[in-house]
Amino acid sequence: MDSTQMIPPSDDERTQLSNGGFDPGKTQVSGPFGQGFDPGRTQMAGAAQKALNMQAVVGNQYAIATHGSREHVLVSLQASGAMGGARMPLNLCLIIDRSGSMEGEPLEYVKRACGYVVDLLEPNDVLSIVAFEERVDVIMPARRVVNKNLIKEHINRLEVGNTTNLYDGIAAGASQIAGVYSGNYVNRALLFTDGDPTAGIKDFSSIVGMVGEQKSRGITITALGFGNEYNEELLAGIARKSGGNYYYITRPDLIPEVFRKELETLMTVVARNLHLRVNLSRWAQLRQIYGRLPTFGNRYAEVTLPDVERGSAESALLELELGARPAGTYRVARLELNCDDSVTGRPERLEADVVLEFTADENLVAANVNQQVQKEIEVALASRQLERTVMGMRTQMIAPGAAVQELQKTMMILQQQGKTDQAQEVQKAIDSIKEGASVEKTLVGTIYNLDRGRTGG
Amino acid sequence: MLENDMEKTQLTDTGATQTMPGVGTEATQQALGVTCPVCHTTNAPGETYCCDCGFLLASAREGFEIAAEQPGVAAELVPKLVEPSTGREFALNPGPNTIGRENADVLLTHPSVSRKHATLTVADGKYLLEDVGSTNGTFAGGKKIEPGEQAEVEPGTELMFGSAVLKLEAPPEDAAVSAAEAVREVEEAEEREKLSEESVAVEEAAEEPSPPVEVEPEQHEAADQAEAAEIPVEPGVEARFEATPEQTLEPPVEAVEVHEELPTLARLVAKPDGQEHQIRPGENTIGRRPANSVVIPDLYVSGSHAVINASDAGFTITDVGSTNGTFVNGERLTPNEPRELQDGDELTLGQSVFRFTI
Repeated sequence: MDSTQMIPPSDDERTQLSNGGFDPGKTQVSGPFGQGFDPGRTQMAGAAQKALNMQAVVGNQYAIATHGSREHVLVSLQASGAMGGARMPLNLCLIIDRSGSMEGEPLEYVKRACGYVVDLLEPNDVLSIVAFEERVDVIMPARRVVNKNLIKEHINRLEVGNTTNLYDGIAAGASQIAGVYSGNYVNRALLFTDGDPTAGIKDFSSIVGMVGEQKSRGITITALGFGNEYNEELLAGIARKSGGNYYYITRPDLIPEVFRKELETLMTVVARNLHLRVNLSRWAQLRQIYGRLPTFGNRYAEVTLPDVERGSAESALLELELGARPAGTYRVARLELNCDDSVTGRPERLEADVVLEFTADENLVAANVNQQVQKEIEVALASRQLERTVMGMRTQMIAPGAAVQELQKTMMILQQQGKTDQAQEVQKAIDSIKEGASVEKTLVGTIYNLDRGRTGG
Repeated sequence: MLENDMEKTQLTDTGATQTMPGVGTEATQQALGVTCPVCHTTNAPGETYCCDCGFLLASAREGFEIAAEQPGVAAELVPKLVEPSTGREFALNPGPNTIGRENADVLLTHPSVSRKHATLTVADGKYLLEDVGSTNGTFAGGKKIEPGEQAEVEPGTELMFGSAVLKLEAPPEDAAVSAAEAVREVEEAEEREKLSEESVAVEEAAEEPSPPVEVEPEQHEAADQAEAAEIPVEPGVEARFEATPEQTLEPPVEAVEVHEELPTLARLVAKPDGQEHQIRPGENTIGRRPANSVVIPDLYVSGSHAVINASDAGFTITDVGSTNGTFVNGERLTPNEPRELQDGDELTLGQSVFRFTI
């Protein structure tokens, strides 16, 4: 069962529990939890078979018992490198913006990009193509990729239209996927757009809300923004809500490359439809999950996490509010992760306990700060700082010079915390600002990836 | 792991059977639930952690005692913001509580909430709400609060920050009063009983202190009564007071007289009203409950909060495990560790501030 029974990471079980102030190991081991409690044993059984491994690491294994406090929990998901036979077939929909602004080079490159996608797909995969402007057209209804030339002919008939009806475009694409939906597919829409929604339902919350509905049906949307006109906040919001990826494409000639990259990512997805539920014990509240929008309930919170690719890792950083209580060891939260596992081919459930020892000894608390979690907190705060800078630049509340200073600070922090890729992106943004270019779109992507805590893949 | 196993075998031999269902002859016990010593929730056998408060059940072996003061219960008497749609609760602290999307006391991660959205100040039983320049506005009972305006809001009012709706809930005003009444009733009942037993008790007292068992049933009753009324009366606290022989056995009227005969060595002067509490030789218990020598009717003060000890050697104060802590000149005391008091020290208990004067 649980490969995940994770209590504070640094120590081994016994030492941790023996600090209990009451009789150490004895009562522990004699309890009724003989099987579930030995991490070494259970992990061996789980890790070899499942695509994912979940760990919950607390920012401090001790908390103060005499008054309320806040504590962080780092939930990390590690995808195994193992693959169960052939890759999962895709149920893919390309949702293409063909508004007036796409005329010329951009549309030509998009056609080429779609052609690449067709080339990379196999007869087991299902493809549909939806194009939207004011009107939404199903260029190709969902079908197996058998006659590749015929599909390409459809693609080549794409022509530009007028305005941008993003909402209906997404809805039409999602219904194509839903038509052949199966848990045995990686169900994904690639949304490509170059502008703000100008027709149909246009407001952020309605669009993102609809994306959330699609996600609850197992349909993930990757957002690809092209050029300088699109709304990065909206596209990143869609990707965030959906657990898909977000790309910013600066030049038309890069469109095919980005499509291919995304497709290769999809072909190595090992766990999909990740839902994390945080069940809270009494005297514990979830304050936030950094960079994500959980839904809250009475003593629980739920959040959708992005699909995970082979060999990659993702994380979520939780902040808990803990109340005062009699000293002792408590499970303050129980984490449940449900996902579709491509390796086992089954829905899987991973569990982890967040256990802390509450003590009156402030010194004990002070001496046991977990550096790994501390580092993730730094990164999360850097990401928030970046978000503020981006917002300031967009609303022109921050002058370019001040923005550069802010970005340099953030860059240093990211560098120190080992987020080299993101530090480089920020550095590039700094260079671009100096050349007078706008950088918000790139940085929104940086923020998104920082918040996902994504590595490898 | 090997060691673990060894420990396990050892344990089987050392009377740990009590918490070990499913082993041989103990099998019948399995059907019994396990009552959590912290929150008294009954758990299914085999649970590792209490399903309600998360307490590691196996760590509660015989002789394990939970601190008399149960912070969780006291926390229920604190004002809070409740999100009706989810049941989520945000406890409010005395003084200003920031509300917003980032680094706020009441953290609302909804996008319609500004980073710094509003401040809700809890002071003197009043609730003052101020918008601190939010984008989408702050509303109380449907009425917009203009930036800079400090609006007093009544408990029960629906507050809106952007599109997040929260309801202000305050502990019933008479909670403290009824708590006090409940305690008093119980005490009176005990006193009556004590009085009737007095002649016997006094004789016995000469030889041995009255065993706490005698008063126990009533304390349980008291606790039940209190729980029903959501009042934080903790069993055990009374027991601590009553178990002290001289306090238990003397009728309370006399006890008061005794106090009056003792000289006042120092005073706690309340800020800002100047009300004085006398500190007398020996142990001076401080708390919300009427049984204390210094009674502070402040909801943020625990039933049994701190003790000031006055002796020839000087004065010390000890926090006895209060929920909201005891502060001397702004410095929080470590519970159960005495600290010396000097003339002029400032004491903070809950929302109440005192000057200690000799």
